[in-house]
Amino acid sequence: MSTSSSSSKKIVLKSADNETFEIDEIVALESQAIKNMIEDECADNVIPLGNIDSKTLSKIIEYCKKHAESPKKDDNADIDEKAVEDLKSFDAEFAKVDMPLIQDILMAANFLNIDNLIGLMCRTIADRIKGKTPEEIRKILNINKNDLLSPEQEAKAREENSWAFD
Amino acid sequence: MADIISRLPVKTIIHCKSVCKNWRELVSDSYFINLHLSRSPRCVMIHHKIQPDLVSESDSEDEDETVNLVRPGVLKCLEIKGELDTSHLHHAIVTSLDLNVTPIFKNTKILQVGSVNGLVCLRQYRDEVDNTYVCNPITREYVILPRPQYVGSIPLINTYGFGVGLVTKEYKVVWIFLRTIPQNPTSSLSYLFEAEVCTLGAGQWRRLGHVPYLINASNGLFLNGCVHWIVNDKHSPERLCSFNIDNETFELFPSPPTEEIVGDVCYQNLGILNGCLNLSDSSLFEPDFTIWVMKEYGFKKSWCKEVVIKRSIMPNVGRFLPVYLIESLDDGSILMFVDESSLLVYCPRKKTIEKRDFLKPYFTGKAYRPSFLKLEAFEPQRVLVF
Repeated sequence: MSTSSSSSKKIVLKSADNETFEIDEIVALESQAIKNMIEDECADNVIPLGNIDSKTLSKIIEYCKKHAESPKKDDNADIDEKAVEDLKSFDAEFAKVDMPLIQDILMAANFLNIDNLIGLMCRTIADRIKGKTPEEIRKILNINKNDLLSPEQEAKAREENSWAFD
Repeated sequence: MADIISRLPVKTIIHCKSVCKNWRELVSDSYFINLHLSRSPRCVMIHHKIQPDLVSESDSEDEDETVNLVRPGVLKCLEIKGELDTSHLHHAIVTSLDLNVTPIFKNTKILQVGSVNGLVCLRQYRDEVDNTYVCNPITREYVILPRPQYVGSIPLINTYGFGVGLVTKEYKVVWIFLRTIPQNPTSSLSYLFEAEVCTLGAGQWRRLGHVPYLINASNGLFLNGCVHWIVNDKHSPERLCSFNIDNETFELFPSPPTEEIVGDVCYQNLGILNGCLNLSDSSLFEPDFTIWVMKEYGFKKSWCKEVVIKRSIMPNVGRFLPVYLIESLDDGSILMFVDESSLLVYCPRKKTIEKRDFLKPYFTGKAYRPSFLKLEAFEPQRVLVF
């Protein structure tokens, strides 16, 4: 996964399925959780991420790399609009994956504490269920069947908010 | 999950309540309610008064009703978005609440006092009826406030304010009224402003005594823990006064330079633009329509003439009648209404002002943020549902 110059410090992340990813430290710092680990000096050369599989982790690294390379908003007040647009279109492309992967990325981003990525995934899911009926939402998100409301409860919920079901 | 659901439109959030048990609990949790409120889109609460075309033949059985056109009207929450570069306005109805079909409002009139955190304060009046309600048009809950302590003839001037304390977080309605006092040989004063306040959930009004300012009769504007009114007194050192919801005191409040506020108070109105207090002045003998904005709350020197609209570019109706600011849109344009019949949109970039016709007369509008705030927090006040 490593592409940049040999001078920068490397961090190795290990996924749940034991795949290792060597990345620049600057990329890893996009994750507040890893940043804290490094600052507290409790990170070994290899950081094991036992709850993130390699497919999800490689997506997250792709995201962090792009964002680490882009100029940060607080660095420079007048960063050029093109960079902002570029990042925007990257995010839009990045989010074009299936719902299970989005959910995995969201959980992992939450664990790794990557604010922008959490926001992006939340917006993506919100956009996909916007304006949908309860049945459609259940299908899109594959909601656990054991957690459904009883028919009586559902009828009551609809009655209480009947205006929203017109 | 709360993070995701709080980004959804109100209707979808209500659908989410039926998705599963987990979500139903999540949506009624105060963490979710506050998160949603912090993201809630800028909306406008339109109160459509009697709509002449709605008085159909079938209504004419009740002669009294058609003759006097006494109807509570319809509350409509609209999400209005401007589109950069074009003068197009998108508007979508978030919810609509028909008060005409609500038995408690039958044959009465309703006035929008104000709204805060998605709760709307309404005043109901007609002849002997004079009630104050606080409702949430999204959850359809409402409470009726008790009767004020004041008894006696209907006051000459009534004005209300509704807001929430910065420290106490208590929701309060304040009522200022001009009462007649019997002639006293030692005093020439025959009228006196007095105030009462009611905390939501407290079950009674409390007297606040005399209010030492000549307050303008329109309802107070809530911002930053205080309700604000225009002071109708050319000799007052400040032309505004405020009521602090937390400590329940009235004070003069820094206004734009008084020597520049020379117009007729009937043409002046308070509003909020991008979170800042503003005073708009459309007085007839002024050449322009001016919007003063207080950039830094409470700081007198921060008042500036933010917008000056040449009267010559005002649509006809706006030239001669008071203009009420409603809200600023995300693209910077400003929504206002005139004569309860015309919606005006001012675009600061192009310096144009246009009349829009998608709302039928007669209406009033106020800035509004939809929320899922529950009124049960204000028990023992009885919570009812529309």
